[in-house]
Amino acid sequence: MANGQVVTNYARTQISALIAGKTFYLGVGTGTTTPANADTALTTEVTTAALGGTATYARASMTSNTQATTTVTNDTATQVATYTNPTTAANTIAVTEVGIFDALSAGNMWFHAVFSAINLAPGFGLQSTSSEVAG
Amino acid sequence: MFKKTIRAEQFVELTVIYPNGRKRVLGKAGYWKNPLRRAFEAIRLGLGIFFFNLSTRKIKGVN
Repeated sequence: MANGQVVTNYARTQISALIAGKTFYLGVGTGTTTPANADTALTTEVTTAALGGTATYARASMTSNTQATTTVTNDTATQVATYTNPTTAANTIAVTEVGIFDALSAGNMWFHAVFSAINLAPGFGLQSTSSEVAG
Repeated sequence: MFKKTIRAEQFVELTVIYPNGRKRVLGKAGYWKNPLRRAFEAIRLGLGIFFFNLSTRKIKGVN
C-alpha cells in the first residue's frame, strides 16, 4: 500500500463551479506594477477623467461565466468580457492591466493580470477571456 | 495530519476587436513579453489602427 492524499476530480469541478456561479465585471487599467496575491485593486484603473471627460468609464459585465475543461472535466471557470474605448475624440488608452471584480464599482478583485501595453483607439475593444483552473 | 493544498491557476487571453467587428487574438497575457514579439505586435496593431482610420476618414472642407 502506498500512502498519499489528493484533491479529487469532483472537488476540482465543484471549486470551479463556485467561481462560475458568481457575477463578475472586467476592469481595465494603465498600471505596470507586477501583480501580487495581496492586490485588492488595479494599480491605475481607468477613470472618466482619464478618458478626457468625453465619456464615462464603467467596468464591463462578463458576457459569459462558464465551466470548461483544462485537465479534468469542468475543472476550469472561464469568463469573457469586452471593454471598448467609448470616446470619440482622439483619446487612445494604453491598457496594461485587467482585473476581474465582483461588483460594477469598488467590490473585491478576484484576478489581476499585467501585460505589455495594448493601445485602444476610440471604438477599439479589448476582449478578455479569463480562466481559473482548480488543481 | 491530513493536509492537501488546493492550487488555482489563472490566465488571461486577450483579443483586440476593431470597430468593424474584426478580431485579432493576441494570446495569453505575457506571451508577447519577448521584445521582438512585442515590437512586432505594436507595429502590427499600429498599422491596423492607421489603415482603419484612413479608411474611415472624412474629407473635410470639400462640398
